[in-house]
Amino acid sequence: MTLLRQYLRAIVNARKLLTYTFLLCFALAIYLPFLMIVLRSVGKGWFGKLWLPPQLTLDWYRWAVEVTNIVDITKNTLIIAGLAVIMATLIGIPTGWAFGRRRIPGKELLMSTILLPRMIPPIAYALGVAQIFYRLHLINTHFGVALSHVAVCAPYAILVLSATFEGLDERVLEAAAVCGANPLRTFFHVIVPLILPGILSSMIFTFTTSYNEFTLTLLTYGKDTVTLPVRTYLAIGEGYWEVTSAMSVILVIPSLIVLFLIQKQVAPEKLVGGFKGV
Amino acid sequence: MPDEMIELREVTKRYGDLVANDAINLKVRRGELMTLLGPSGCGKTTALRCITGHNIPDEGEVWIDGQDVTHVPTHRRELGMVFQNFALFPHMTVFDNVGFPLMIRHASKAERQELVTEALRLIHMEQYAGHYPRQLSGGQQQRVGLARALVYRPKVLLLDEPLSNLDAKLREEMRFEIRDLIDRLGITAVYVTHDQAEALALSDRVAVMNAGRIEQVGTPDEIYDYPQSRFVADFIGLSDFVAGTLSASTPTRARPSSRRMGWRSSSVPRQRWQRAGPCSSSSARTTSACCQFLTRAAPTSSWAW
Repeated sequence: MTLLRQYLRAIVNARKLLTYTFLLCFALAIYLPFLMIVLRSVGKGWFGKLWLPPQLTLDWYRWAVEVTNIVDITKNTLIIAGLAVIMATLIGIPTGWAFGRRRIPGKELLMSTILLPRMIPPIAYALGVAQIFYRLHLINTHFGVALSHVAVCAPYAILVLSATFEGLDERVLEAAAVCGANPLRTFFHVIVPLILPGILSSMIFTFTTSYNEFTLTLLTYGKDTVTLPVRTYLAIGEGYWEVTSAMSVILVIPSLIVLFLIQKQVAPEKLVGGFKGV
Repeated sequence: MPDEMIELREVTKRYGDLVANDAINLKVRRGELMTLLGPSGCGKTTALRCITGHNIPDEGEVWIDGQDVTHVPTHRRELGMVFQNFALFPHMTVFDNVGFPLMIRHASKAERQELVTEALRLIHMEQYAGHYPRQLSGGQQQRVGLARALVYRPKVLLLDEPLSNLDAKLREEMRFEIRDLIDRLGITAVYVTHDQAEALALSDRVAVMNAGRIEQVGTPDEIYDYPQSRFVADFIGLSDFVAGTLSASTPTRARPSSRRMGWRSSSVPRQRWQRAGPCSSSSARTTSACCQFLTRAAPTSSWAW
């Protein structure tokens, strides 16, 4: 009864009504396509004007695993993403340190240059990357695909890490020195615990970027380095929509895991106590 | 054992063209609280950083406890320091923050427990041992900073504007808490501030700094009553400067002659007149010297002219 009254009041209140309408539209726009995919991946004999699939099945998932060799492809994807994360982090730590903690002439311009691969569409330079990679025999190698991903991963790493290092309070490091800690112990007892959350979130971002990357992979992959997004795209072309849907659902799972990790990372009472001093 | 705990000898520090410390000489006696007082940019923090070792002077020497430490790195100087922005380790609890200097010195767990508990009791923060710095108020954080600086009984306690980030009422309270703590532990302390009232209330001696130089060193009373330069007179307390001609003077006091100055009709007691500024002791003897006179304790509106 009270719920009904609240609902009626909400309808009367135009502003609230507007808010709920927008929320509903937003939810539909985000989740409706995904709902279609999930239904398609478990539906059997779903043709024509039927609103819902008449039969449910898990056959398409079996197909996805058997026919499209999804285990190997997932392995490829993870190896490539892992390599890209390592390279981007190795580039990001010193560059981020320089950007975050040193005075560099023309810092803004340099930063824009570094962010450029992120800003322009990868398809605009993917062909160039592919041509160079053919000459260097980097096509169809995990390293090559990962290297092409670094162009879009490294800017994220640099951005996140420079913010992290900028937030590292010089006074806290001085305090450690006054307390008697030599540079090595300051590094392990103070710097590492303080920047670890930043490095972790940088790694999560670069991982998802590489994992989701499609354009650059499409122009640099070979038969041994097919990744999940590319395989899904190829499956659409092959016409097996049910199997493609099953692959799409599988494709989403790691992203959900990462999302869960991020949420845990951002949780207020996390173990490391936050980036900022005061 | 030398009488001086800290000594700066002709310490000069330059940043490019800017001379932040210009041949500074300063002696801090064992067990005293010396304040470096001056406006922002006067070089007081630079001088403090020369003592901590975060700055290495371009010229001159820094001595602590009878040893030349000019080129000894900070972590081997056995200091305690309190920072303006507290500078607690944000990823450690209050207990771990205070225990950090002991952990670095490889103190046993039992010893650490005992000393940290004692230090926390000293600042009335025992019940906050498990809290993180960001869960504490500014005053509480600064008390933890104080405990961390004192827990291993360093030779010297350095305080870099420790109260500037606190609100006015808390500042007054903490001022006496710090003084009380330093008295009880009998530690040598160097206190940097731009707050005149703080400096005069806290210190055994004050070094007034301006433009990279030390203008005057003395007890708060000396600094207040007998400023040796116009800058010191102007910077300490509320002062009025009166321009006048010195017609006669006794060795200790100048006496303005011009009726325009109207000192007779003012409520200012005669003995409050003082020389200030260019009127140094030698020029005071010459009757024609141009002097500036300084008075305190009377609002300008009560003046007769």
